[in-house]
Formats: sequence, structure tokens, C-alpha cells
Amino acid sequence: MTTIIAQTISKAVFAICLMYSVNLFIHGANYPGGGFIGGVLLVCGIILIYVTFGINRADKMFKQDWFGWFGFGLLFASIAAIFPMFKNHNYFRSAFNVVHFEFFGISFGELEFASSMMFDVGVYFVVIGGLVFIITQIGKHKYSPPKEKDEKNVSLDRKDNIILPEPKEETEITDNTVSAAEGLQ
Amino acid sequence: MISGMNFWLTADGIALAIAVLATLLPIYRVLVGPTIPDRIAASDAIGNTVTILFVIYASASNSIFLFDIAVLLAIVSFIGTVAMAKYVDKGKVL
Amino acid sequence: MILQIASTIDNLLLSVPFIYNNVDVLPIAVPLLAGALMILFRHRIKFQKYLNLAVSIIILILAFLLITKVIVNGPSAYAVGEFGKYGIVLVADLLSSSMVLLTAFISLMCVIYSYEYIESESLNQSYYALFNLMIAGLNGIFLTGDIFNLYVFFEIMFLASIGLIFANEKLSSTLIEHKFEGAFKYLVLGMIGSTIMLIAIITTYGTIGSLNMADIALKISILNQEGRLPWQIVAAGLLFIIVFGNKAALFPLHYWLPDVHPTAPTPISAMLSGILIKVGVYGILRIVFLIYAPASSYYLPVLMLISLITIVVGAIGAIAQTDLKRMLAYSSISQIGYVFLGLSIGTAGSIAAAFVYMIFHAVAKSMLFLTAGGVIHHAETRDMTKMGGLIKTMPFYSAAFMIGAMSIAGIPPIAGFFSKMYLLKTGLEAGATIAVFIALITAFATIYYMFNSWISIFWGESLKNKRFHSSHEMMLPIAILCVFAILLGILCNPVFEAGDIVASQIIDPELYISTVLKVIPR
Repeated sequence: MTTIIAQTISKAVFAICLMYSVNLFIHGANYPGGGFIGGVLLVCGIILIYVTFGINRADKMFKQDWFGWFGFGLLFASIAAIFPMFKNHNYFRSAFNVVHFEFFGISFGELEFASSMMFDVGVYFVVIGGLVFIITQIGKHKYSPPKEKDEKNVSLDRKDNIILPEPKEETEITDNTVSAAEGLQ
Repeated sequence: MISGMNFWLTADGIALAIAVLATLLPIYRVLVGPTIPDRIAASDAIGNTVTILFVIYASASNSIFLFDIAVLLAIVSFIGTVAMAKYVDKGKVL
Repeated sequence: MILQIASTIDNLLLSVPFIYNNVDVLPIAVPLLAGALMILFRHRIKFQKYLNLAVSIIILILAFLLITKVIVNGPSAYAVGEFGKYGIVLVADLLSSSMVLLTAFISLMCVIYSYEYIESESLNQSYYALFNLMIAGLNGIFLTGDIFNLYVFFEIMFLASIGLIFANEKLSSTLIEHKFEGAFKYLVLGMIGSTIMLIAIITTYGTIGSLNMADIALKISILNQEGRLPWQIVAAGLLFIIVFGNKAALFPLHYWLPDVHPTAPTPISAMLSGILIKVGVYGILRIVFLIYAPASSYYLPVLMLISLITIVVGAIGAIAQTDLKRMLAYSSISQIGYVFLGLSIGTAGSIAAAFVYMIFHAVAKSMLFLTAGGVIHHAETRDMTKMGGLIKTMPFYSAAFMIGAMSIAGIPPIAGFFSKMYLLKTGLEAGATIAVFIALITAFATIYYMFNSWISIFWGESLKNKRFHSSHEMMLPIAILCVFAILLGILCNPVFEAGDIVASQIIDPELYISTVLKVIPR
């Protein structure tokens, strides 16, 4: 399924996903939708690109630090929550305003802008960054089947869990730890 | 939305009945299907028919929010099919 | 005198209205913001280190200001988003603010310790960010006055602590397989616990129609006075007790703890044993004495039986262990049983004793874990039978371990003695003679296993000749905690007075409820 047909179609689907996720995000203040759903939909589009192009090419296409998106979203959300405190209000206090769009005499309808939407922007980025980071890390992880256990070094007896592995095997085990730490942290 | 037996005589009702039947048939293929590609194709068909179910139901109950669900379901089922097809083809997803 | 100092600080704080008005929420907001910054700067390890130190000190100062505000003005309620009692309410009474202060203090010590101890590979990944999120979750649990919000903060704390278990030590003596095993147990049990908690919240909300703790408590007490307490309420309270008992490692749910706490890196073990199991105690205090208070006559006898079994099982496990950190983990189980014994006797004096016991145990046990980390670094093994004679090469650590062991075992000049004596005394006054007898017998077992481990580590034939040169960053937190363990023993009066106030507030939650219900939307 990595033919050129699938790749071209997935690009188109990615555009649809982007558009529709922004739509869901914007009318999420009063209707079904919001930052989380919109983010998940965009993640679907991104993962489609990752599936059809393969992880290396897709990484080169996006050139994004997805974990950084996670941090940025968290920062945005917490700043949006803290900001009312400088205006002598409580944490997470939201204000709203209805904006009427009118260009060249033509009315484009009106949108309700709430300051809690900034929090939603944060959630959007957190969802995108977190989910794509987790999925790409799982994809990058090379699964190696467990080797035959050496009876001398690793014993299943619980009392012996403090025995240090032989120095020859230590490199392998640290390799394993690093990749595991990358995958799980 | 019209309730009771009369509903099944409207256009929405007939379409809904056909769509439900069309959803039930691929389930047999998913359960029995001798090969994995059969099952993938059948599950893709289920995704499409459930999308149609949502559209018909939205039309019957005069609700626009169910269209959102239909669009979402269409996108997600497409991605699922692509991922499963790549798994069959290459043996890995990412 | 303490009241005078507190009111002076409070008056000074009044001149800074930004902090004075928001001091209830800042212990949650600051670590959340810091966690986000840590992720963005995760590759700049030096900057991250100083930022995290500054944030930890700021949280400690904020917790201190919060407790002075509470001492002077009584409990305070804070409406997040200004929705009044229908939104999320943060309530700071003396119990929750002192738990926040304890969290801030112990976490500062663990942060200083972990610069030298955790390998840089983990430090520049996400260690600091997860640590800050865990602090935010803990402070949120202690401060929130809304049961669904409690669930959310519980999840934040729980998931962040799972990530932290996988951080690697510089000289790791824990195999990655054991880390995975422990973390998997923790994850699965915690997830089941969260689901049970959600079911309990849904049951309560479906029956009472409110999520605010004070509101629920008021409505349940009214229903009880009319004599038509719904039976689901008793069941929901029991579900909550299962969840928090799982967190606090009460008897039938204690088996995950000796796998999880030792496999975590040492500063995280200290946090887990010092603070995270106290979350369970705090939760059960709120559940039994505030929310489901009319049903507490059903819960307390069960809790007392379970706590006695926990004391005995933990002590037996600790005696049998040869692994240093596993021994300390089993000792945590046994000690948490003492806290629950005081809680389940249910008089004002015994609850005060349980509160003081909790604080003294947190200081002593986190210090013991930090000391054990240094010992394991030096000996390169966790097996106590393979250590020996380390008193020559690491005299500072041997003294620190001795003080911690004395505090846990309850030897007079150190803090642990006073809390244990007060607990047993109030237990005798309340007439729980058999329970006090069992606890006293197990206290001798505590003395045995603590000093037996000290002897097998530090005495005997010396295996290492090289002196252990630990950095100041590792010695400073241990020294500070040592000083606190001794000082709290000598000057234990203010803590006991605070314990009495806490216990009176817990027994009679009228003040808490009226404070919360006074909050109005604006």
C-alpha cells in the first residue's frame, strides 16, 4: 500500500483532515467538538502520511519535534489559565465576546470568541504532539525477540534480582534500557 | 422524526432498513472469511455502511450533528483500511 | 508565638494582593507551568537544573505562605473559574495545607539529590517535566474540594509517577526486566483503581446530584438525619476506600508496593514512600470523616482489622528481606498500618496522632531511602548480606541511616518515638487495648529489622577499602532531613498542637462545609 496512488490520495485526505479538524475545533465552544476531538482528527491525517510514506520519509516531510508540540501546548494552556490572575480574577476565569465578520459590506456571520479557547488551543497541540510522539516512537522501536537466557547470569529466583550482569552483556542491556526509556518516557 | 410503524414506510425508513441489512452481510465475511484480505475488505465495507447509516439517521432525525460523526467515521475507517492493508503487504504498519 | 509569626507574615503578604488572593491555586499552577517549560528546554540540562531548583524553592515558599494564611484566617476556599460551589473549588484547611508543605519540602530534597544520582540520559529526556507534573498532581489532590477533580489530579500524579519509575540511575543495580515488572503491576493496579474510583464517583453523583465534597457531605448528613440514607452511598464509600487503600498499600492490596518502590530510582522511591502513599491516607481521611461521615461506623472496624493485619504482614516481610530497598518498602507498609490504626480508632486524639505519625514517617522514610541510594552506589549491590563494614568508608551515611532507623523504630530522642508513643497512648485511652497490644509487639519487630539491617550493612568485615566520596548535592538533603528528624523530636509540641487542630477540624467538618458553601459565583 505504499504505491504512488495511495501516497497521492493520502495527501488529499490529509488536507481534508486538517480543514475538518480546524472546523471541529472552532465550533467546539458551544457544540460537539473542541480541542481534543480536533486534535485527534488531525493526528489521524498525520498518521496516514506516516503509514503510506514510511516513517523516515514522513519524518523528513514534517521535520517536527512532536514532543516539543506537547510542551508548547501545555505551556499555552497553563498561560491561558494563569492570565486572568493578572487582571484580578481567579485562575481559569473565562471572558467572551461575539465578533461580527463583515468585509466589503458582505456579512460572513458571527463567531463567539471565548478566552477559554486559548486553553483549547493548548489542548489541541498537546493531543497532536502527544499522540504522534507516542505512535512514532512505537514505530521506531526495533523489536528483537528475547534471547535464550543464560542461566548463570539471570535467574528467575526473586532473591537474586540484585546480581549485576556480566560486563560483556552490560552493553546490550544498557542499549535495551535506552530504547525502552525513549519509548516510555 | 416519525415514530412507530409509520416510520418504516417512509423513504428514510426503507433506506435505513436496507443499510442495516448491508451492514449485517459483511459481518458474515469478517467472521468466516478464509483469508485476511477478505476480512479487511469486509471491515472496510462495514465502515462505509455504518457511515451511510449515520447519514440516513441524520436525515430522519433532522440533526446536523450526526453528519459530523459520519465524516469522522469515513476518515477513520479509510485510515484503518490503509493501515491494515499495509500490514498485510509489508508486515509492518509504520 | 507561632501565631504571632504567622500573623506578621500574613500582614506582610497582604501588601502583595496577587499572591495573597491566589496562594491557594499557585502550588498547582506553578509546577504545571514549569512542567511545560521543562519539556521545551529539555535538551539544555544546565538551564533545566537551575529552573527546577528555583521552581521547587518557589513552591516551598508558596506552601509556607499558604499554611500561614490558613493558620491566621482559618480554612479558605477558592473557586477556580469563579463558578462558585458549582464549579471546581479548592479548599485549603490545615490538613491539606500541611500536606502541601510536606510535599514541597520532601520534593525539594529529592530534586537536589537527583542531580547527581540520576543519569543525564534520563535527566535531559523528561525527568524534570514529569517530576513537576507529579508535584502539580499531588498538590491538586491535597487542595481540591471536588471529587471528579480529585480523580483528574489522581490520574496526573499516577501517570507521571509511572514515567518516573523508568528513569535510570547512574550506577543502576536494577535490571530493566524488574523495572518493567514493577511498573506493569503498578500500572495495571492503578488503572483498575482509577476505574473503581470513577464508578464510585458516578454512583455518588447519580444518587446525590453533586460533585462538591462539602455539598455531598451536607446532603448525606441531612439524608441520614431523616433516616433514609441510600444504600449505594455506603457502597460508594467502600469503593473509595478500596481505591485509596490500594494507593496506601493496605493489607489485601499491598503486594505491588515491594516490587514498585525498590525498582524506582532512589529519589523517586523516596517520593513514593514519603508522599505518594500518604495520598491514600489523606483520601481515606476525607472519605470516612467528611464525605461519607454518617456511614463511618461501617468503615472504621473494618479499617482497624485491616490496619492490624497490615502492620504485622509488613513487619514480617521486612524481617525476611535481605534486599535493602525491599526491606524499606516492607517497612513502609508496616508503618502505614500504624497510621491507619490511629485513623480507625476514630477519636480526636488518635487522629491527631495518626497525622503526626504520617509527617514524621514521611521525613524519616524519605531520608532512609536517600541514604540507601548512597549505600547502594557505594556497595554496587542491593543485597544486605553482601555488604558489610561500610562504617569505615562512609561514616556520614551510617550516622544518617542510624538516625532514620531510630526514628522508624521509635527510639526516644528522635521524632518517631513521640508519634508512636502518642499513638499508643491515645489508643489505650480510647479503649482499643488488643489493637495497641498487637501494635506494641510489632514495634519490637520494627526495632529488630531496622537495627539488624544497620548492623549487616555497616558492621562486620570490610569489603571495600576505598572511601566513598559522595558529592555535596547528595549529602545536603540527607543532612537537612536528619536535622529535621532530630528537631521535630525535640520540638514536637507545635506539631502536636497542629495535629490537635487538624483532628478537631476532621472530626467536626462544620467549618469546612460552611467555608465552601460561602463561595459564590461572581
